[in-house]
Amino acid sequence: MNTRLSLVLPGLPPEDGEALGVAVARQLADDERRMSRFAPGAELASANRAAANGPFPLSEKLFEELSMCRAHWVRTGGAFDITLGAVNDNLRLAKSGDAVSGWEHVDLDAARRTVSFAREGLRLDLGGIGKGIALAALGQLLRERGVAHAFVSFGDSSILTIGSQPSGDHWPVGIRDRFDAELSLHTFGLSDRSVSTSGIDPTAPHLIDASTHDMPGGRRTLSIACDCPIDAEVLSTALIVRNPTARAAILANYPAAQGVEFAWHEVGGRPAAEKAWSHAA
Amino acid sequence: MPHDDFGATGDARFSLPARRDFLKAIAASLGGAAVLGELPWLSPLRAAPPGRSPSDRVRLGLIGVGSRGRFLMDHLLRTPGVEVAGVCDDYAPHLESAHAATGGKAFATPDYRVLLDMQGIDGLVIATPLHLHAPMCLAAFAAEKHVFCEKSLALTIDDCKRVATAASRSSRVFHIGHQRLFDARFHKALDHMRRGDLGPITQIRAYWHRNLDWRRAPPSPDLERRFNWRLYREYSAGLMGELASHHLHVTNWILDGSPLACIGYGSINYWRDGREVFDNVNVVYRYAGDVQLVYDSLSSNKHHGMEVQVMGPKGTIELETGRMFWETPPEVPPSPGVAELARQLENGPAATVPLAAPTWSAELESTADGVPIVANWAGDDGTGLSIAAFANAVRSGEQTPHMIDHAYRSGVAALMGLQAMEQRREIAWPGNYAV
Repeated sequence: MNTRLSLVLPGLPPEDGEALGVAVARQLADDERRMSRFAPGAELASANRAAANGPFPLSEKLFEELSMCRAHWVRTGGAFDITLGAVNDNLRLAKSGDAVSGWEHVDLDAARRTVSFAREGLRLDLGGIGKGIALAALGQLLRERGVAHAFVSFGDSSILTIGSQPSGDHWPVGIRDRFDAELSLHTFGLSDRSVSTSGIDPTAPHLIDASTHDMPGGRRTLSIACDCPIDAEVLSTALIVRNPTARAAILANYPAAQGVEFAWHEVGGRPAAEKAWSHAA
Repeated sequence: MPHDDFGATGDARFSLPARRDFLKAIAASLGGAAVLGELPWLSPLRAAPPGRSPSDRVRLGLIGVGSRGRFLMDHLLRTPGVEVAGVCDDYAPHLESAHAATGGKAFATPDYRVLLDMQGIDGLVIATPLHLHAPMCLAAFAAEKHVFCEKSLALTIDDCKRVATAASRSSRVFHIGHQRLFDARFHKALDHMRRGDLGPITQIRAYWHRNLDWRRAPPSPDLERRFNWRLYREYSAGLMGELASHHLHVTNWILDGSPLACIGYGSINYWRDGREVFDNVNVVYRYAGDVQLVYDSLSSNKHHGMEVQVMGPKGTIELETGRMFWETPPEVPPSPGVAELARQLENGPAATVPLAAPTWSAELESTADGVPIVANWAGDDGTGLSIAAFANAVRSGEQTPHMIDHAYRSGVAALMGLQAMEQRREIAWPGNYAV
């Protein structure tokens, strides 16, 4: 996943922490081998190369994950869409030309556990949800190992908590200001919950509006807290490309989610943050 | 066969300017390595480019023009100032093919002794079966020819001593075909090691695994032993001589010494086809400083391929694929927010810490497969530079530093491993050659 993983495990003896670190690394390597679209030998990368030639057999795990992504595509009214891999590549690499996307070109055959593409060039991309899937599995691993208090962060954008901090009733997780790393714009009090943050910045484009294939404008971050780290990833990716009305419709399908969005504007020649939207937060 | 005094100095594929560009390009790849002072065998490459006068021309004869010999010949034909003046092989189709590749200009003979007697030939490139290396090298020195001998040095330890002694006493140049000595990736890796990037080296692990029978189909049954000489102990040291000698050479180079002793086991456990050499070898070598080399080579499974892994407390370098793995990757600093959270937790409850933020970038390729030692490497594997260095050394008449030691140490180490497996006992380093 090419990002930093931070684990804070209060009260764990160092030897236990080292053993746990090895188990975590092993599990993440498995996730990478399954979900990466860049590592040539990864299962998803292989499927992307071959599925236009006919049904490509998938592992049980990846089949379930792709099916879950399709369900989130429905629940978000099409705002969360993993079929945008080729569109994303075109924008990121400044390539011209049409890129194929859309679930109508993807056939997930549950009976044979295969995936096939009706169009050449389509690429599935788990970049927007893979860290959530990995975090959910890590949470399960840590709980099975008896960990009662944990803070887990994937590159700061995807955070999972187990229990609360040892001397409190939650983990106080601040949303960092884009232009002042020591400033928290908002605090989520998390206990057995997750938070995911997506950002839009004209200097680092990487999120796409599935309906228009355009990059949304402005300089914004949107954070979602909810019980499931996968839902948090889906929502932070989907909501940031939708207007408040559409966001409300999507959130009706995700009870107990909280959200907050900040936007930056020039004030006196300096960027200043203001809360642009919030939901139950 | 016709004898052309001017031999073959190139063909339509490689004009002289093209060959000069080729040499410049591969020599440039060495620039910048801080370890250059530790690579004295590169000194011939610093010579001025050869001129066009006949006296600048190095005239070489090739003995053995099978697959490896032809590979070397292709490089010779691309090396500035080198003339392939003679070719020799006792298998007529190989000889005729090599002769044709020189445009019919090289003198062709099935008897290598004819090349020894040719006054117009400065040096010989020997790419014959292992058992012939020693007699041919000794005969070449006796005939006052310069010698480039393919690895491994010889079939027996006594022969290794004889050849190394003769080479050290000869006024002629001796080179061994360990091309990794001239591979920029190995130089860069050595630079990392000498700067302490791995910490002290604690183990080297090397392997060369293939899934093949190592056989060639002879054109007639009576040529079986000649074609498949690698499989017969009379001519060959098997996997130790043909493959392990490369990685033993690299290990000796990195650890700057010879193995003190070795133990090992080998067997024929899959290719039971009448061969006389092991189809799997497994040897542990002990070096000074309590460092071990663990070496194995299989002929029945290729899953792990080939690699040399140099390990220390700070990291691992994989030499063949040119990758570095840090035990603690330095390129990932701790998240300031997480570090602050941990600091606060050690002193009681944590207050709000700015921990959540977007990544601002797309998911891209992981570097978990290691960091390339030389970025975007597409250069020579050392063979071209090795040939060019030999040609320059012949031109100057100056012996290339350390070359005989490299040849002797790796050749002997390979045979020590073979002895350990055949005799099922520990084999000690047999001592140096007489100078």
